[in-house]
Amino acid sequence: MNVRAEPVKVRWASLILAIVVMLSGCGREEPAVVDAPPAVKPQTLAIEQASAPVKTPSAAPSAGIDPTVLKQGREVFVHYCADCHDGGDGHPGTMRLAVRLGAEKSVLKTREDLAQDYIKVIVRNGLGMMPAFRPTEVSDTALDALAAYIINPSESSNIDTE
Amino acid sequence: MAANRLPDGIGAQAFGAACDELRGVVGKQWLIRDNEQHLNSYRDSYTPGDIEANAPSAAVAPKDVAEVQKILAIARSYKIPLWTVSTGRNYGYGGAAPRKAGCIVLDLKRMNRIIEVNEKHAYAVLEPGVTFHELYQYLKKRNIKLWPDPAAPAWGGVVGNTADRGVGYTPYGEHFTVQCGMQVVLADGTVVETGMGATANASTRNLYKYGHGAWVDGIFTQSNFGVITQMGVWLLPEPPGYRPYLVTFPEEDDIHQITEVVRPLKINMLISNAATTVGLIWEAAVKVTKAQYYTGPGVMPDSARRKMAADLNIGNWNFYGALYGPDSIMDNNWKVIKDSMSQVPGAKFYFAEDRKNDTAFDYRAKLMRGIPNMTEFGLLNWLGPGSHVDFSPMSPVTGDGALQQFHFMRDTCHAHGIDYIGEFLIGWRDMHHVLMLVFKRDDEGHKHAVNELFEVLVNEATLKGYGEYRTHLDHMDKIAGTYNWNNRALARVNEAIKDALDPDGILSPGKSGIWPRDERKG
Amino acid sequence: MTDPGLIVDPASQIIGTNNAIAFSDARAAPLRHLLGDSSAPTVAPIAVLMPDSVEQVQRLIELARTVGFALVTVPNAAGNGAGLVGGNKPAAVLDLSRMDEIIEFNADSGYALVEPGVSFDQLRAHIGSLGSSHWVDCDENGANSISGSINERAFGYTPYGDHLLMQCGMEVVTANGEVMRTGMGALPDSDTWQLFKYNYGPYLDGLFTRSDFAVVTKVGVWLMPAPPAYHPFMVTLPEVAALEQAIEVMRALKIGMVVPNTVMISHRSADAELVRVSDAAGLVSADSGEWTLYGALYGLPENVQITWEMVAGALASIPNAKISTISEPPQDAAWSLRTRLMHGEPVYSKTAEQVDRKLRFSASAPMEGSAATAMRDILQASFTQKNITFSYEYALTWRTMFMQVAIGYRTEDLTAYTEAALETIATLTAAGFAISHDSRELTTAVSAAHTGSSLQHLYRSLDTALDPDGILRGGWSS
Repeated sequence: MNVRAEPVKVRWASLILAIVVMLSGCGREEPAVVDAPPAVKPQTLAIEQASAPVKTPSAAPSAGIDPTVLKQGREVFVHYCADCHDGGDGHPGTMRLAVRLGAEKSVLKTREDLAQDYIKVIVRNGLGMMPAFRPTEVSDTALDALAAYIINPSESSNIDTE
Repeated sequence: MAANRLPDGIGAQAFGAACDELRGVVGKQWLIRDNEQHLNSYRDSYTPGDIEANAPSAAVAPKDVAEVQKILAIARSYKIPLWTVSTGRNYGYGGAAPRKAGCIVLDLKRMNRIIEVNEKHAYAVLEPGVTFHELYQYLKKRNIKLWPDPAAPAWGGVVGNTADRGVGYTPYGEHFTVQCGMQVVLADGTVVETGMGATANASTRNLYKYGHGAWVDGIFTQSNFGVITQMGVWLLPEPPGYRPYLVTFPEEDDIHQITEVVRPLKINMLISNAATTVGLIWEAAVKVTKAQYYTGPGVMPDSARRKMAADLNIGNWNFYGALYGPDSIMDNNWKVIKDSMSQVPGAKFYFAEDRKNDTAFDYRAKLMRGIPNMTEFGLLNWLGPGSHVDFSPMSPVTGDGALQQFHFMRDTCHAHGIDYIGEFLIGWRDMHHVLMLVFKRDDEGHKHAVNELFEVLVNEATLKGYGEYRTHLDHMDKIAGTYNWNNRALARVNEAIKDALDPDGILSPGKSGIWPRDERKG
Repeated sequence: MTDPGLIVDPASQIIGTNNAIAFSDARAAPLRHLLGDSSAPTVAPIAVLMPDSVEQVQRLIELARTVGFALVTVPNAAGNGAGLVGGNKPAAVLDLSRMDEIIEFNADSGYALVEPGVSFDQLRAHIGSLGSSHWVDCDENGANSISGSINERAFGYTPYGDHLLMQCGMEVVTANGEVMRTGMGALPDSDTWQLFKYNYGPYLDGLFTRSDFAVVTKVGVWLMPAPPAYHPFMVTLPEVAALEQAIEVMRALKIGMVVPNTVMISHRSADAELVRVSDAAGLVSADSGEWTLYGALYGLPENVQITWEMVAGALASIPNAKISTISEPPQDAAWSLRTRLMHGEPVYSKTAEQVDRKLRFSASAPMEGSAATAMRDILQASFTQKNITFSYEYALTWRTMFMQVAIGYRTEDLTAYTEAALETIATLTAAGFAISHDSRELTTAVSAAHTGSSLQHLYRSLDTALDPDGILRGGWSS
C-alpha cells in the first residue's frame, strides 16, 4: 500500500496537478503553460547519504490518481527508466540497487518505500551512478506523472518493448 | 550549492536583461536560470575534476530553428557564449556541461522530431533531440525493416553522437561515414543546408553526401563552427540473417595474435561489423563487482582475475562479432573466421545458445543488431557508486601496435593503482582503444588518482605517437594540443575558420580546444 | 600584368629555369589544350610553374602573394582535378607533375600515400613490381592523377569506387604557405595517418575536394586486397521497361552491398565511346540492348556463387533482358573493357592533350527506374532537338544514382554546346536532379546557381579564412 509522509498537503497538491494534466490533454514533453501551484519544492539531499524516506502507513488509498496521469507516467518510465530500472539482468540501475540495498529493494516498481517527492529529487539531481534528467527530457509535469506511476505501477513486471 | 553563476565578464544586470530576452523567445519555462528550475541537471556529475569548473550560468531550450536564430542573435548582442548539447548525455566526456563555466547551455533536446524515415532508400532525417532509443522505437512500432546503429547507452543522441564522431557496433559502426546531409545554423544566424540540400528540391539531399562544391559537413563534427539542427543518417536494411558470436582468449598477451588474425578478416569484410575485443574486467563488470573478488587495495591480483574469469567463463580477451546475411554465407564466413581465430591457442567459440542468461553476451548481441539498451552502464557498478572518464587513443589493426598500446595503458594504470578496464572497437583499418577510468563518484582521493593517471596517459601516449579520438571537457585543450605537427598548423587553420564563422566567439568556446580569438593562450 | 617574365623570372630562382615557363611556351601546349578554351569568363594563365617539392610549393605561394598573381593547380599531365581559371588576377599554373613520388605502399593494411603527380598506372606498376596483388580502384584513364581523382570526387568501378570515401589522410599547403596534415598526420610520429581518417576536432579533408582552398601535396588511399573470386556480369536492357526494372532490382542489392562495386548502366552511346576512346579492338555487339548493365561480385568463391544465384534470380524479373557472365563471355568490346574496369584496371592512358575535349556533367538521383527515364527524357528533349551528339550512362553507387553525360565538342561548338548543357542542367535541377559533378567548362556557371545561397555564404566565409588574398582562388565553390 502506498503511503505519504504528509498526507494532507501533498495529496492536495497532487490532486490539483492531476486535474491540470487532465485538462491540458495528454502530457507531452512540451506542456502548455501551467498555472497550477507548483508541487512541493524538491529538497536538497546530500547525494550518497540520501535514503528513501520511509512512508508511514495511511488509510488513504491511491485510487485518487488519474489514469491519464498514470498512463503518461508509464510512457515516461518506458521511455527513460526501463532500460536501467526494469527487473532482471542487464538493467544497471536495478543491479546497483541490489548491491546497495539488497535484492528486495532493487526493482523500482515493486518497492513500497518510495515517496513521490524523493523520486523527483533523484531524477532531477541524480544519485550515485545515475545522472540527472533535465526538464527538456522529462518536464516537471511528466516527472510528476512518472513519480505517481512508479509508486502505482499498472504492472510490476517489465513492459515488453522489444 | 554554488550561487547562480554569471558568464565571465558579464554583470548581473546585463545577464538579467539577456535572460529576459531569451525568455521572450522560448517562454519562461525554457530559460533555466537556477536550481529551482533544475539548472543543476546540466552539471557534469561524472567529472573527476571540479564540478564548478564546468558549471553553466543558465540553459535555454529552443523548439525550432527560428528560436535558435533568435537565441544566437541575443548571444551575439550580449557577447554571452553558448554551449550546444543535443540530448546532453555524453557522459565520460562531459554530459550536458559546458567546457567553460558560465556558458548558457543551448539545449536542443526539445527539437526532437523524426522528420522523415525513407524505407525504400534506407535513411532517416532527424533533429538533435532524438535518441537511439527513440529512433529504434519509432522504427519498431511501424515495422520498418531498418536498423539504427546505437552507441552503447541507449539514451545517446543520434545526431549528437554522429557530430562527436562516435561509434556503434553494427556494420554501420563508424557513424560519420553514414551521415548524409546536414542543416546547420551559423553563428550569424544563417541556416545552411549542406551537400545536395543546398539545391532546392534536390531528390538526393539525403542520398549523396558530398554536394556540388567543397564538402563541408566534416567541419561541423567535433567542433564549434555551427549549430547542427538536422541531420540525415543512413540506416542498415535488416539482413536476412544475424548471428552474434563470442570468442574468448585466455591470456592478456593474446591481444597480439588476435589482432593479427582479425586484420585481414576486417579488411576483407568477413567481419563486417564494428567488432570489439573486450578486456576481462570490462566484460565482467556488467555482471559482478570488484568487491566480489577482491577487497584489498590497488589493482586486482592475477589470482582474483583468474577466478573471476573461470566463474564467468570468459577470457582475458573476449571478442564479440556478428555474422550478417543469408545462412549459407554466414556459414561460409564463419568457417574462415573460426579457422583464423583457432590459431590462437585456447580460443573458445560461443554462439547465443551457448551463452544463455549471460548479461554481457545479451547486450552485445543487442548492440550488434541495432537494439539500444543501457546494460553497459552497469560497468560503473564495479567499484561502488561510479563515474567514469574515458581515455581513447587510436591503434592500428596490428598485433605489435595493439600489444604495445595495451601494455602501455595497463602498466600505467597499474602504476597508479587503477585496474585496466578497456576494449578495442574495431573499425576497418583502425581500432578505437577505449580505456574506461572508473572511479567512485564521491571519493576525492580516487578522483585525484584518476586525474593524475589521465595526465600521464596523455603525455606518454603523445610521445609514443598515439592520438585520442575524443575526450572529456577538462582535457580538450591538452588532447587538441597533441595534434601539433608542423608547429600547430592544423590548430591555426581551425582558428582561422573559427574567426571567420564565429568572430564573436559565442559557440561552444573551447570545444576541441578551439577558442575564440581573445581567449587563446600564447 | 601580362608579362610572364614578372612571374617566370623570380620563380626560376626557386624552381630552376627549366621549370618556370611562359604559358605560350611550346612545352605548355598540353596545358593550353586543357585550360585554354574554357567558356567561363577567364583570365588565362600566363605562366607555368613546376615545383618538385612541398618546400618549393610553399615558396611559390609566397611569391604569388608578393608579386600579386594567383595559382591554378594541375596535379599531373592528365589534367584531372585541375583548378579553374577565372579569378580576377593574373594566374600561373602550378603544375605538380614533377611531384610524383609514391611515398609509401603498405600491403598489410592495404594503403598507399602518394604525391599529386602519381597516376593510377604508376601506382599499379609499383605494386605489381613488388609482387603484391592489391588492386587500385582506377579511373578509366590510367594516366589520371590519384589525388586529382579524389579532388574531383570521381567514382571508379570496383567496391572501392567512391574515391573520397577511400581517401585517408592528406597533406596540404594552405594559401598562407603553411603545410598542414589532416587526420592522424597532425600527430607527430603517428602510425595511423593512412588508417584512420579523423583526429580530434573538425574533419577538414572534404574542404579540399572540388575546391581550391589549399594545394594538396600528399594523399592517402585505401587499397583492396585481391579478392579470391571476381565474377563480373552483364545484362542487356533492350527497352525502357527493362531499364527501369533493372534499377528497381539493383537498389536493394546496392544498398545492402550485395553487389558492392559501382554498377554501370551504359547507354550504347557510352559503350561505343568507351570502345573508341580506349582504342580497343572490336566493336560493341549488335546484340547489346539500348542499355547494358555491368556489375560484379567479389569475395570467397563459395559466397560469390551463392550471391550470384540470388542476384541472377533478382535480375530474371527484368523483361526481355539477357544476362551474361564471365563463364560465357559475350563477344563484345565493351564487355572486355568493363570487366577490366571492374577489376581495377584502367582501359587507356592519355594525357590531357591526347583526350578529346568533352563537356561533362552528372546529375544525381535516387536509385529509381522512373528517375532514370525522367532524366534521360530531359536530356533528349534538349540535346537531340538541337542535334547535339551526347553519350550517357548511369552509375549506381551505394545509395546514389548518377546520370553521367558527355558531349564532345570542337572549339567552334563550345559556346552553343555550353548553353545547351546549362539549359539542360537547369531543367534537371528544377526536376530535383541536382548536379554533383561537372567539367571545367561548366563548373563556374553551375556554381553560380548557388549565388546568394546560404551555402555560398559559408563558402565565402571559408575563403576569407583560408585564402583571404585569393591566391588559390580560381572559381571553384562559389
